[in-house]
Amino acid sequence: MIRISVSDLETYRYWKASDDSTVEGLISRLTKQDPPTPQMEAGRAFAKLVEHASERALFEEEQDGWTFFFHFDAEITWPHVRELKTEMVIQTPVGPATLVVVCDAMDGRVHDAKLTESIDVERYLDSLQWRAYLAMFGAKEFVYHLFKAKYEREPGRTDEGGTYHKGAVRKGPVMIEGYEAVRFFAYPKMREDVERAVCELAEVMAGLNIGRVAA
Amino acid sequence: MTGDANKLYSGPAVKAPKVVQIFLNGDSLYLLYENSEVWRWGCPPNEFDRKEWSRIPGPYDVEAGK
Repeated sequence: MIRISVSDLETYRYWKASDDSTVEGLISRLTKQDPPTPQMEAGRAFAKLVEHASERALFEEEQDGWTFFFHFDAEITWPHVRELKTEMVIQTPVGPATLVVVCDAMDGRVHDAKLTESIDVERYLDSLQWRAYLAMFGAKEFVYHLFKAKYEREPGRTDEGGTYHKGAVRKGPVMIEGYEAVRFFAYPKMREDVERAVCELAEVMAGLNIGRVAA
Repeated sequence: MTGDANKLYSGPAVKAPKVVQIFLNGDSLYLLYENSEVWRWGCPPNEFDRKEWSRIPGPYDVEAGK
């Protein structure tokens, strides 16, 4: 049995779209060998913060060594049912594969919170995340809650070619400077799109001999 | 919406509407939220082999079941 998460599907989708992809890079990402970036660590801390958020205003919130400063006003509906997990077994050419998803919150709609340095809605159009979540939770509407983050960084540098490189992110304060709720909706044959993506990734993982777990 | 560095903000208010009533009607499960939203977990029209979430528009009369 191959076990696949939605982040695996997204890793593979980005890998296919990238010009400088290598097989080693794909294996490393799918088997989680790469250490998390500071942005990934901040994202995890932020996910924990919203998972436990009660009905109150968020202003200056500490979580796992990060401090999130909220510099905007809004009213955010964040349902009580949180971290809901479900699995679906899909028959693939290389045997059954289990797709596992965990949504951030659910109230008939599926909700997901994202910490991002730029709110770029088009980035989510092709995502398999909302497609898989809608198909698996039997929902029609998916809401991305996008929080625009600004990190403190080490000084940047300009290389010989004149290209500017941002400095490394410093762990600590994160300014949350904006918020957008973006909605995606279920469409006919969406489930087939998800199943096709799972079949393709399952074949790749079987070929690379990764991702198998005892049935 | 984007923050303005020169403005003072109170921060976003988190609202988590509670389910105030859960009831069954036929093969469907209904959740009534405190903000008056009603969600149904049941078969779409003319389908009997799968269920999905759908929002019931307008006020829902629990007694009348519609």
